[in-house]
Amino acid sequence: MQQSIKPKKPFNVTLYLLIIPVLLWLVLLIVLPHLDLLISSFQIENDNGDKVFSLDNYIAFFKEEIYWLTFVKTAAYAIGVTALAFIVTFPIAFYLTKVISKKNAAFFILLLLIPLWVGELVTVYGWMVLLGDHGIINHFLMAIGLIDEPINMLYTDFSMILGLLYMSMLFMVVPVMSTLESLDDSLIEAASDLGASKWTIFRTIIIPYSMPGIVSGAIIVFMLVIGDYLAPNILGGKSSLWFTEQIYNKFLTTFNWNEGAAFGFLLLMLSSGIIWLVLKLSGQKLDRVGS
Amino acid sequence: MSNILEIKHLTKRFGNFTAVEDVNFSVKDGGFFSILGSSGCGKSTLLRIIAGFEPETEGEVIIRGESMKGVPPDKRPVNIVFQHLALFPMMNVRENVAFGLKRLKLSNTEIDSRVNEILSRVGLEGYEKKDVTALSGGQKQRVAIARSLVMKPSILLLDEPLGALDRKLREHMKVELKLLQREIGTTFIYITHDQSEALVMSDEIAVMHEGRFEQIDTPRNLYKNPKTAFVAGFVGDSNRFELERTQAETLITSKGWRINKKSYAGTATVLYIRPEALIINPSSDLSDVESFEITIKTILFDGSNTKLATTVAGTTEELLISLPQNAEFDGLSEGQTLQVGIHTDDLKCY
Repeated sequence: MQQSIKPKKPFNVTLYLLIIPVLLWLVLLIVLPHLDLLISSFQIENDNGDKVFSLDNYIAFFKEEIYWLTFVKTAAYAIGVTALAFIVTFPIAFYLTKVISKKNAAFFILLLLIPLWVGELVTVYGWMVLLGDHGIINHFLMAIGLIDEPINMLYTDFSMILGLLYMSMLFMVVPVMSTLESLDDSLIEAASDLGASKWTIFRTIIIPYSMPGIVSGAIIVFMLVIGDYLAPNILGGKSSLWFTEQIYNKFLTTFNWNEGAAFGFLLLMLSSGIIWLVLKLSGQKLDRVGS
Repeated sequence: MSNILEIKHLTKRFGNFTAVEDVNFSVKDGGFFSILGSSGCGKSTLLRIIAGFEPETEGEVIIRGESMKGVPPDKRPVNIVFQHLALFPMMNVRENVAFGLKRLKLSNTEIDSRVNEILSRVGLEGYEKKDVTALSGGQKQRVAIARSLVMKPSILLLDEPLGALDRKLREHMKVELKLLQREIGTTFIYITHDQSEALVMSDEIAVMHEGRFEQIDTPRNLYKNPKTAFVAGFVGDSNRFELERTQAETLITSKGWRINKKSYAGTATVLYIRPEALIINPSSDLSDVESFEITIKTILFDGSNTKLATTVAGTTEELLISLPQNAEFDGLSEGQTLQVGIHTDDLKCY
């Protein structure tokens, strides 16, 4: 008698048990709330207090200048902070992976992680201590006689960007470092041997090679920044509007949950759209960037 | 032919460790020069100094009559093929090969024609658009060589480029590389630990040991007349014997085997005999041949490399003898005694 070549797989209990938490997480915490928000974003209450379908929530956004100006500003600033994060952290990542020894690098990486241990709120207050009118920096500058009046740094776009940069930077360092670690030094030597200057090597070898890490870091930083509430709210003050603050106001100040939901969805569309564009432009695949 | 490369008193130290010690040599234009040594002997360091990746501690590298002191790698007229090839994974074949030409700010038509020319030289026409990661080992090899050769370097440095290939392909590439070098006439400096690669391809070989050059010679001379005990043991196969007592014109090994050697002064401590230098059943009219009796212990069959493991009659000295695979010796069996002879010039003592 011939044995069947492919035996029927037994029902794998462990596999299904392990999948359940993942499914619960996805459905209960991500899919369901978003569906609920999506539905409520297309609803308004009519005069009788009944919920009816309407596009008014979205129309309100485009009618009111301050909303979509904030929206555009938030997008532009988030892109700017992401670019800054790359500029600031790439030399750090390069230094840690290619210049110093692995043992020293581990120590510096630990130092980099410390801000994460204390949480965003504490680091944000730390920046307030530093940047305030009577803060350490102004105090120092006045003490050495460089300025007479304190410079207004806190509650400006400057302090907000600084705060956003500080809390998101690390998420750029880690993926960039992991791609740089896999970069064989002989590639750099080969390029140099073929007549490439330091700048050319950087531009044609190091950057293209670390592109997957850069894009994956940029996506994380961008999403963190565009969805952040603390840094814009505390460090940005009243003059720096951030779109998450508009959403917060809709939900908790004016209690207009339907409009809040619509705003939330607009933000989701915005960040997804920009990430899609970045992936297209950089020629990266989501699965490569995600790994 | 003039010397394209001259190395004078080159020394490289890393802290207390001396990787390269007072190395001197010169390479003729258009030659194929190999540096042969086991791993850790300093040959890679020497190559990196010539390419400009490591500064020398002392001495000088002179290429085409010009001192390379302080000249960075991108300004030297040499190109290197790396051990692991170091192809740029994010570029296709054409972009890899064109990389160096683009740095020279050549026109696109010039770049195209040079890239196409070199790719057809190495037999990779039609592969321009392929990703280098999708190529086979041998093809990657060719891309790496093409990428360096397209720069028309004065000297091409090769750092064990065949090391990663399987045996069959390595044998094939060995011949191909030699023919390519003949065809284009570029000077090759080839680093390897594989003596067969060095012997087959080179015009001249330097044997390197612990940072020093033991001998620089043609492959044939290196094999026939090794100057030092290290070279005799390293290049080719050898039977090695410790010499016990010193007596003029007679060699006496530590296990008591005596064999005569003309005009031997009696000062050596070690004797090398190549398995293939031994003549089975020598005819008596050969001059300068010492003959003696051996007993066959076993036959080590390995195709063309088959050897007899024997003991020299009357002693416990063991001796490997090459056994030609022709009908003449088919009848040999274990335990049999045989007369073998050796030309006294093939008794190498140090």
